[in-house]
Amino acid sequence: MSAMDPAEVFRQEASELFEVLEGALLDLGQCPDDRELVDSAFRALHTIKGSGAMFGFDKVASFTHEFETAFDRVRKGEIKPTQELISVALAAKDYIRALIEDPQSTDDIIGEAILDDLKRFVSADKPAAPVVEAPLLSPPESKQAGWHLYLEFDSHILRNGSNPLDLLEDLCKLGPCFVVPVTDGIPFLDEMEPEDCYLKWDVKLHAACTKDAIDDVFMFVQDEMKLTLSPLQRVEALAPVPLFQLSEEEPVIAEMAAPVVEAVAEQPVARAKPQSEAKPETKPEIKREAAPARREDGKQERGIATVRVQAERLDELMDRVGELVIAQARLTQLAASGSDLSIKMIAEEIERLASSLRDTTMGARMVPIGSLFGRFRRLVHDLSRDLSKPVEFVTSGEDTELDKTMIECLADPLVHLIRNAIDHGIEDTATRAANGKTDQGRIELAAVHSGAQVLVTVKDNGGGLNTARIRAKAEEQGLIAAGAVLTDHEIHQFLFHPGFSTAQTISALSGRGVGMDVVKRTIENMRGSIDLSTRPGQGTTVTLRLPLTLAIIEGLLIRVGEGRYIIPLSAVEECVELTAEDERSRGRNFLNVRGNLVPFLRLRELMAASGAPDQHQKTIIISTGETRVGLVADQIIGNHQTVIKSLSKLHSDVTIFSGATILGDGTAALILDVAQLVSLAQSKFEKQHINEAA
Amino acid sequence: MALNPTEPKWSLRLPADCSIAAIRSVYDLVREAFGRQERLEIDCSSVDKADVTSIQLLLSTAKTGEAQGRPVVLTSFSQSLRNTLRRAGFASDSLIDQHFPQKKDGI
Repeated sequence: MSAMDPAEVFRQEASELFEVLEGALLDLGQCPDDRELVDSAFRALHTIKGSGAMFGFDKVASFTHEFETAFDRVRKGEIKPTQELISVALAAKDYIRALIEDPQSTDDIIGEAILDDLKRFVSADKPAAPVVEAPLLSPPESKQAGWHLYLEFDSHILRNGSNPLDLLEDLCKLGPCFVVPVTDGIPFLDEMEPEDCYLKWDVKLHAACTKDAIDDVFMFVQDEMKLTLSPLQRVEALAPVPLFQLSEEEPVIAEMAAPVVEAVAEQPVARAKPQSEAKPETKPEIKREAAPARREDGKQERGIATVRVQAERLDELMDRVGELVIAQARLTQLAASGSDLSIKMIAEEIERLASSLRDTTMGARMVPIGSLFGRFRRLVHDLSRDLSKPVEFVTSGEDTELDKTMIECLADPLVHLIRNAIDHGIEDTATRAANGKTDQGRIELAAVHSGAQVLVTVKDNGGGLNTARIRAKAEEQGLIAAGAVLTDHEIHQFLFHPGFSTAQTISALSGRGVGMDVVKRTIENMRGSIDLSTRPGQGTTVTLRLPLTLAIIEGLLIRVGEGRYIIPLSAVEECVELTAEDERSRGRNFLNVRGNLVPFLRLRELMAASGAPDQHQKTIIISTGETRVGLVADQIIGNHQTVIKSLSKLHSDVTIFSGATILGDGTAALILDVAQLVSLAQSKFEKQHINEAA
Repeated sequence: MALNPTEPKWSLRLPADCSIAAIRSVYDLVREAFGRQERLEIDCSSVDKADVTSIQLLLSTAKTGEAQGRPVVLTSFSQSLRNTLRRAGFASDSLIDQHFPQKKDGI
């Protein structure tokens, strides 16, 4: 097991922090007064800066520092985060990301331009006189002469990229400080963890600043430290000597012992061990344990709840489980053919364990779809700005889990769908106003579990599809004969035809007719399907139906002639026997299922199976979304845990199969592609319909 | 960084990077040197990157040497190390003497 490159660890962590930062910035655009969002953005920035410096990404640390400084007025509440400011901050975030992921693609000039923009925005409405800071740093009027602080950091704080020395320096900016290191926690060499923090500090801050000002200094690490504060009271007007102004001329620490100030409200410092010097003698007025119980618990939870694992290892594990499932199927078959009861019992036990292991492994690969949804907020923000269409972006079902491979495959189709929804779906402000709609359009992105599938919907409240225009375009391109009778649903399917676009102008975003066909193909490659529904003037909803995983599925094993095939169980609605009446409808290929006519395909004909058909043919009713189709087979063998193996390039053109699997006896079975079969049945049915009409 | 066995006392020159990014290897080196010799001299003149971890390692080394009666002599503190010590509050000779009694060519 090779250790990960520390720089790679940083890149991964930074990637997560960028998501937090971007989310916070985008939310700030909506809720500019939310202090928690500002703090969240700053925490992310601060960690990126600290970790960047720790792992040698000096440019990242330096740029992020500038970013932090420029954005500081927002943090102090002096200015509100406007949309323009948020846009520049997002650009700054992108620049930092580029510095980390692809430094060659960056240029210092771009970084400087972004910082200039940022500084211009934050200084645009600078108040005439500082309101917040001035009183804090003014000479103390009251009897209070400053603060006595005792700082004890969590041992792991240095590993997180935080630097206590920077914090001490920030503290010294509030006023003259006497900093005394407390070294009693330093262990002997053999007991030392060199990256842990053992030093503690006792600080006397001679400034009548507020507690909030001190809290601000430690806001990013407040959960990882113990800060004990008590006020100092002046007993004589002896100006204390600030430590950091004396870097040239050394301060006389011995003076610390002299009572320049005296502490009030004394009490021992919480959890502090006896100190060798500068023992805090005061009872702290404010004692912040940073919610110790929760933190301690939380820390423990974090320790056991999350383990970072390389994605390839999960893939490898899944492959192994797949092989195990196949081997188990062989064992089960072998045991069933013999009469040894003990072998049968072991086979059953292994089957149970393999099934449980499969579920656990698949669970480990599941990722909440929210990790994907977060990316689209930026997309909507940018498109909304570029197209001057105010758009509200609403997401739901972020906790819905999907296999990580599915999540990766789903990103591009969703980008296309959201772009289309904003570019073509949402009308411009004037049109919306004319139609009595609000200025702001709305895009909803939702995910929900539905049986063994996940439904992902992209819904807009725009103008809906223009069926007449789609039809006209289809006729113009020769896809249908003029005057052909088609339902609206059928007409909308032309949108998935390669090169089909009704856009009158081609923009950078859409209109070239490339996109929806790619979306459909991608979704079908994932063994999913896509549905469109639209209401004129009210909007369009695109629904993606996806299986939970691409690796192992529950399948229904059937026999057609000598061949055996798998139908994904998630697509199977029911199984019925093909009646004599249905048989008599030969040529029409319709099945009467409780009063509903369902078209069916005879798999024997489709697979060109030899030999006589079984006397009692079975029909498996499958569905994709709204459409149902029957598949007629010779025999339904039963459920089968199907480890999906991809087909060779030689067979990639055979669209009605989505893969293959190995059965217990070592032979292969092909997996039927449900979406393709439904589409095949539909076109067959349409041709038949047209012939009959003729 | 190098151990120089030709000198009567063993001297260890700390590497340029003694920050948290490299402190583990510096720690291993100090331990190795500490384990071998009766008297160890640590040359800090090359230290270019230092932080809290560097200070802690030096403190621990001094403390361990003191406890075992095998004083560790720290020599030639670099400017960078001196700055870091000051930032951490070791701002006077008296304080440094207290923690590093065996230092030479001091701060």
